[in-house]
Amino acid sequence: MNRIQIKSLATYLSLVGINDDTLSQFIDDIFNELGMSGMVKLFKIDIVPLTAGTQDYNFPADALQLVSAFYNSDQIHLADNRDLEAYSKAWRTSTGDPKVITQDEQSAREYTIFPIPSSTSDPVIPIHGEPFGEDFPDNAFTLLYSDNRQDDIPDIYIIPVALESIGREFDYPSDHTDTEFAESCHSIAGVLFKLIGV
Amino acid sequence: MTRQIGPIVEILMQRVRQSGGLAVSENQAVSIYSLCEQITNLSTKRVTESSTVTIPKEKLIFPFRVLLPNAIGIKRITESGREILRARSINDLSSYDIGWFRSISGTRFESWTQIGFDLLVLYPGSAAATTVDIEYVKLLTHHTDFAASYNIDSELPSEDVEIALSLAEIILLKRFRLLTTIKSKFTELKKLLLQRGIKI
Repeated sequence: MNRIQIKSLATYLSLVGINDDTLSQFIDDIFNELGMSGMVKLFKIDIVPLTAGTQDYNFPADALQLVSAFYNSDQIHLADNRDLEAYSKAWRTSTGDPKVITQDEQSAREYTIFPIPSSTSDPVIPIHGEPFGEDFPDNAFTLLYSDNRQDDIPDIYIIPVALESIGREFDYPSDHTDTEFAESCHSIAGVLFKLIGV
Repeated sequence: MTRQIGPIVEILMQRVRQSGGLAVSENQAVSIYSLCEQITNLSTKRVTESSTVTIPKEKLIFPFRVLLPNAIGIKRITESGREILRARSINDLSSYDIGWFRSISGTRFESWTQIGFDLLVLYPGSAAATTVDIEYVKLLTHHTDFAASYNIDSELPSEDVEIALSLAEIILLKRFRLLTTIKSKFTELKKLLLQRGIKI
């Protein structure tokens, strides 16, 4: 299932001429909000190649919220600068195996790893077709995050997201604003989200 | 006793019929009804399937919908008849073993957890390929063609069909802005769900 199917159902249920662009925007907003709030149930895992001496990296383009990070087998702590200060007075310059990931002093799409990686990750060569199995590279850095996918969304999201997007569309100031109808859509969408465990 | 999709959808169409109003197409009705069946089953978790899955060596994390395309939630995992304990989240695994992510120690799995609707973790990784039996909540079929699905049995137990039917009715009534009717139907739905122990 993809977002176009959600939009198609929302258009069908809303009956009146709905604004195509705002509806698409509302659907994107709903997935973003669910992902950022940790309520979304769509996750991805990626291996990030590290370069020795480089500590700043970008999140994957579709990442919304970092859930966890791993260096080799160890789960990496998410921390801020105060934590890092407590960890080591020389935290800004120390090198070694990554222990901490932080977004302090970075923009939303970037993160920094401490200590500064002393080893470059081996390349992922999926000889057995199992990058997370037998082919898992040495010195690998792995990110687990909620993602902002367009496709491969389970069908169970179609109706709740369609109703929530209709609610927002009819809340929005326009020639078809209808707050009572919008409120009813929000309320049913909320129940459906509860039923699917969001 | 099972019920067939066609007659259920006909009941749905009778319930939402509005004199002088726009008709709901049969294909739209069957599509919305079967999406409601999926949501109903995810909340009741009553339609399940089991499958034996091969776990490659040294692999702990799996995209489970690739392994089990009809799965939407994992209920139970057994290895040679022994039930593997479920961890509530990866934080539980982390509290137990900070190096759980690549822990390849064993000959038997100790724990599993599901991460959202995508990933399954089986801990610790096995040193050799092995198999486990997975019981999962089934993502029911999404029917979109009324004629083709008419004589197909609904996968829901007959006592749960009314929940899906009520949900579909409420959603289709939205189209006609019958907000007072929706409100009373919603109260009925809440009662139905409460009878199944589902509080909303």
